[in-house]
Amino acid sequence: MDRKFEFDELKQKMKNNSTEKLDSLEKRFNSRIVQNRIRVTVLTSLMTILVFVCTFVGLVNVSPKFVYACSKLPVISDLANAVCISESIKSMVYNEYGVSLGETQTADGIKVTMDKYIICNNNIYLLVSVEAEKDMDLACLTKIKLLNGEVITEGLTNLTIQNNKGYFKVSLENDSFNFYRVNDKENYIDKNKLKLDISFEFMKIQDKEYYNSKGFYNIVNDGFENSTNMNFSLIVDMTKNIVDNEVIYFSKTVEIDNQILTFANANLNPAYISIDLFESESNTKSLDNVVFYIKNSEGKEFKTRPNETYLHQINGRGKKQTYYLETPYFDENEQIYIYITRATFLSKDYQKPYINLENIENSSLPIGVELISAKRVDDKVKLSLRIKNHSLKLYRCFDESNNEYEVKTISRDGNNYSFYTYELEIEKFPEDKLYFDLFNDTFIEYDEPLRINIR
Amino acid sequence: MNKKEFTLKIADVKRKLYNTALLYLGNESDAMEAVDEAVYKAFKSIKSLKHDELFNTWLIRILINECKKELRRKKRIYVSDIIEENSEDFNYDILPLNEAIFKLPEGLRSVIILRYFDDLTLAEVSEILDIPQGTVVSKQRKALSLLKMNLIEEY
Repeated sequence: MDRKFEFDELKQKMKNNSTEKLDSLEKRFNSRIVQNRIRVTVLTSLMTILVFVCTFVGLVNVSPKFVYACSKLPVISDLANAVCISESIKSMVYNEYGVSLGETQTADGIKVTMDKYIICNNNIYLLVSVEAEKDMDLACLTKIKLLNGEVITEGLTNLTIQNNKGYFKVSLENDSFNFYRVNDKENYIDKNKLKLDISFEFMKIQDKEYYNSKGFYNIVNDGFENSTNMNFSLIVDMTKNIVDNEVIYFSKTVEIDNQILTFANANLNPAYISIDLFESESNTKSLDNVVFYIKNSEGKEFKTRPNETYLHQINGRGKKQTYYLETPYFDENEQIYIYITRATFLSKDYQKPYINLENIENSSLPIGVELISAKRVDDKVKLSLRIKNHSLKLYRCFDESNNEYEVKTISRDGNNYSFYTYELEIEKFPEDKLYFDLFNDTFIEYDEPLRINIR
Repeated sequence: MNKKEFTLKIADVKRKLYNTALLYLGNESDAMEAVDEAVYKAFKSIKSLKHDELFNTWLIRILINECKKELRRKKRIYVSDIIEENSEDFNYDILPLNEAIFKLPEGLRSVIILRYFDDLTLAEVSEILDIPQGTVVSKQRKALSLLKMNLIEEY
């Protein structure tokens, strides 16, 4: 079929899709917003009462006793645990990784040094430092060309010059390699030597908040004082100085909502840090996900990588999870903090309830989960399940011997806010008892993030 | 932005949000769920939006994250339906377009949906997905070639 015709047809279909559904969506939003408003109103009232009580206590007891009492208030930061990772991460990055370049150019008061390049996991990372006479915000448009003239990457980086210095990293990642034929030998000047032409266009940002007519942040030359262009040539030996990951072993236990978690083994490479998170066997709940970010000593945040494919679970059950975070450009005496912002668990109460397919009356279901129907049709099992708790989601289905079965969600009707109705289908389920786990999607949120210090 | 302004804006973009989530997730109930959650999250954190004119981009970004979250949950249930990233040898052109888009690796799928179905510019897509414009272009080209769609590439 002609894709262009199909594309036009699909777009048209989407323009005309059911207004009924969209109206029902809008009703859902409005209902939730109203519920939220009621909750906020109640909380605000409670806060007002609390403030009144505190003021009252303050007025009556302006005394050291009051100060002492305040200091005894539970503070989330008490949960903070300090972890010391033995050696400076900076030395890992600078002294043991990569190929030193030290090539420098100066123009318009900006001195640019290509510090080094690193080949790691078939990706090339170029570390660049910038010096200027005064502190400023810069944008740098980086273009990298192959020997055959093809531009393989073009990207804009914002960097801040502080104390006359700034750094940035240019990444040439593996997936774009394959696509743009970087491995094509016509781009090599020698058997293994890839030639890259790198151009930097530095622009001094006059007004950081520059938005175009549509309201999007838009960097064009009008928004900058001057442009400074620099061109470098880089020859990369793709077979030498390939970096392996460096693992720093440590182990530190933290406790969140009675869940014992162990952060361990920071795996460092120039592109990212990965940190393993283990749950304890004694846990009453099973960990599903922890959200955290790292901050360096300058307060800059580095989040987990947005590309979800980098996040993997070792055994799929949350016993160990590996999180990947963007790596900061490390400086002397760098300290890094991990802030945990929330965690999600598979609660024990919702683990392993079961439906007895031979005798439905003998099923064991937790509170809030109701079986509407369960029957075998040929090789398949068809289920209709009503789940009252809005935050519960079906996690997996398995039999007595713990063999997992693929479940197809035929529909999940959530129009009624107090429950979901799932219509499920499982193929070739041989046993009588069908077990499942329900994932409780309730986040644990802290007023203050849990802080782990890595230095 | 007050509640009334917020609901008016949502009414304007609800179709776009729903269509985006539908293409991303491949079924109606998941799409409704993701949009519902994204709008609620947006409402709760509306104060963090410093520039009202960025509302649509900001909201679509929340929606894309919700869709990813939904997919992550679904991966546990039907793993076999999810095609791994880099499965370039998969024959996308045997599928109807909407299913072929759904089968694309996540990174490519977002770009195609935002560029060609939400009609967003390169700068907007780059803003939403938090990737450089050059990467958007490369992903767009790759996705079009996998889908065998001969659409004009606008830069």
